[in-house]
Parts: sequence; C-alpha cells; structure tokens
Amino acid sequence: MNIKRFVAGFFVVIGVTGPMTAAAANDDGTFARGYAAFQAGRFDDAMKLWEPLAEAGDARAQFNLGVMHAEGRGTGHSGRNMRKAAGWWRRAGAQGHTRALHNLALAHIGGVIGGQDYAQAVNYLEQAAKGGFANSQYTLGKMYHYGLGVVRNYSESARYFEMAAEQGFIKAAYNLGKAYRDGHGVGVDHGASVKWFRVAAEGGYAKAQRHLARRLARGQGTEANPEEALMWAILAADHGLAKAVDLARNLRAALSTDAVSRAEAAARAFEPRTR
Amino acid sequence: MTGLVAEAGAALTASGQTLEQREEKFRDLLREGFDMPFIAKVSLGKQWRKVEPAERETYVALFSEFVLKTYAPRLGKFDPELFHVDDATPKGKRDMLVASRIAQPGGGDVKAGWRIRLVNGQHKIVDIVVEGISMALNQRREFSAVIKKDGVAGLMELLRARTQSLSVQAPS
Repeated sequence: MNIKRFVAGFFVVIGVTGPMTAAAANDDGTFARGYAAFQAGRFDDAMKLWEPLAEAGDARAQFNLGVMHAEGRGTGHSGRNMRKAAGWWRRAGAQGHTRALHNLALAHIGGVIGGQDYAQAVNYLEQAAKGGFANSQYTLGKMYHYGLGVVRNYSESARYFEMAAEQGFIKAAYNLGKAYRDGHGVGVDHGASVKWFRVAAEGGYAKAQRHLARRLARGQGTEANPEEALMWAILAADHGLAKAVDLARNLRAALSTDAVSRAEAAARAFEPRTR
Repeated sequence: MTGLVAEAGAALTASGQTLEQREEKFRDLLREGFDMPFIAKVSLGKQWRKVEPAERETYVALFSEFVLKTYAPRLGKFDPELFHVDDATPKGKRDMLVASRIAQPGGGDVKAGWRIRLVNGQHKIVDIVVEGISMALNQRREFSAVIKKDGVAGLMELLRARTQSLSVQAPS
C-alpha cells in the first residue's frame, strides 16, 4: 500500500551497509581511515581505528570518540553514553581542542551530562572562544544576550558576535545585524545592520535574506533597490519564511515584468558564499 | 501518492553515498515528510502561547533540527533489511497509523508507529510512536519542565545546544 511504501522508503533511504577495510600504518593514515569508515557508516571500524590513537593522546581521535559515544555510533548495545562522550571530550579539551570544549559546553547547556550547568558551559565556551573558535564565540554571544550563566550584557554579546562574524560565521553575522538594528550593546546603526545582514544573507541564511530584502525594499540603512529586494525575498521564501512570501508577492506586484524576471533569474543563480 | 514517495524511491537506488549525504537526504525528507510546524506546536502543548509570535519561526526551525539530530543517528544504525511495515489502520478521524517493526541485531523487535495525516493533499507524518511512547508527548514533558525553569529562552538554548553539537572532525 502506498502509505506503507512511503514509510518504508523514508526509512530505508538512510540505511547503512558496507565491508571493513584494512588497518593502518601511521597515525594520520589511521585517523583518515577512521574518518572514511565513519562516513561510510562502518562505525565499528571507525571506533577500532580511533580508539588506540585516542588512548595514546591524539586529541582529534579523542574528540571523535566522544562524538561516537554521544551519537551512539559504533558503541554496540550500550548505545548513546554522554558520560563516556564527556570523558573523551575532557581529555581532548585539556589539550586545548576547541571543538571538544565547545561540545562539552553544549552538553552542559543541554543538560545531558548530570543536569544543566550554564556556568560550567560558559567556562568551556570562554576557553574555546579564546582559542578563536567561532562557534563558541557565537554561542557565548547568545549566553550574554539571554543572561544564561552570566549577567546579561549586550555589549559582551555584540563583542562575541562580532568576533565570530568577522570569521564568516553566518548566524553571528545575522545576530550582529540585529544588535545594530536594536541598539543592543552597540549604537543603533542601520547601515552596519544591513552590512551584517548581507554577510549572513550571502552565506545563505534565510532569516538574514528576509531582513535584507525588507531593508532594500524600504531603503533603510541602504539605498532602496526593490529588484534586489525581490531576489532576497524569493530566496528566503524558498525556505518557507511566511513573511518573505508576503514580501515577495508585494514586490512582484510593484515591479515591472522585466524586473521580476531579472530578480527571479538572480535568485535561481544564487550560490551561498562559503566561509 | 505524493512526490515524496518518488523521491524516496529514487534515493533507495542511490549507492556509494557518505553518511553526511544520506543525512542530508533525510533532512530533506524530514522537511517534506513531517508536518514539522504541527509537531513543534504539539510538543509544547499549552506552553506554545508563551512563545512570542516572532520567536515561533525560530522555535520551529530549531525543533526541526533537533528532531533530525535526535532521530537520524538512531534510524541510521538499522539495516533496511530488518525494517518491516506491518499494517496501516485508521487513528482518530483524520489519521492513519502505520505499524512497523525494526528487528534488532541482537534479537527482538522495536515497534515503531508512524501517524500520518493528509495535509493539503499530501501525506505528512505528524508523530512517531516508539514502543508506545509518542515523540510529541515525550518532548512536551521535557520542554515544559525547561520552560518552567528557564523560560522560552532556556528552551531555545537547549535546542540550540542539542542541535549544534559538532560531529566528527575530518582529517586536515
């Protein structure tokens, strides 16, 4: 029956199969083979390849083993085990591995290792942020914005968003755009707001595309450009943002047929800028 | 049947894909196959009213990512050969419940039910029931407790934390 096929097809598409490959000669080679095994869904093989490296102190392998325990991959019947994951991440984090510090922080925010602990999360995020890790700088910006584990401080929030945004982290760029729009931790500056919305929009972030479309339509913080506004509104609408759908409809009604065609072509040709 | 079935069928024949590519397909199917805004709302119950209208879009997006992150690794572990669809029966006035079994490598079955509703002419999954436990209701219990303690902002951060945890590092 069709519904059965629907469910079966939905499920099977993510199935996993594949044979084992040979073991390794050196650490980098072993690490790379572990990665290839993981990508192929041969999680037991990845575990066997990375475990000796991790035990010998390889921070990359320690981090990856932590991920496998967190996701319950290659762990047999024991499934997910956040305590084991955190154990490996702590060992990697002690070596300054910023990804491990970041995941430890998120585990404390998510309350998946012994209850929620925002203060501990902030501690790990600060270490990773100092190491220049954009994901942690962004998350720290959110913690300061909401006052979680720290006293709410919009200036600190904007400072961390800017650090991450300068590295091309698109959600940080979007949040920095909002900070300049709302005057949160920085002076209200619509030009700067548009600048950062554009960075995030060009990176493919739909909400930033919608904000940029609105500002181009109004001529706020930038010269009005309804044709370009329509292009961004179309892209945001493609991600299902309802307000973007409305904006695109209004812009289509206001623009000439040629302008609409050009905007639609530009939207079709759009490729997100990679950082 | 919808285009989704055709898409899933085409994906069935695809081979040599990496884990990330399969999960990306799963993400696409999730968007199309699940009525995410509905499930996200049901997962909050009465607390939905505490989410400002401007925040709802963000919440639904975070919730979608959260479901992907939570369920993709669980589903990805199973061999498709061990997945069996048993039956489809009416559930309530509008829904069908598709019963399935997932045979475990160590023996025994996990029973999973897929609640499906016709939404705007398309079949959409509106809940997954694993061993009698509804995903939506299970989430509601957890989310309610978080909102009571840390408000909607706390829930958003919890979802962000669970969805933004980094996966394995690639060789440099």
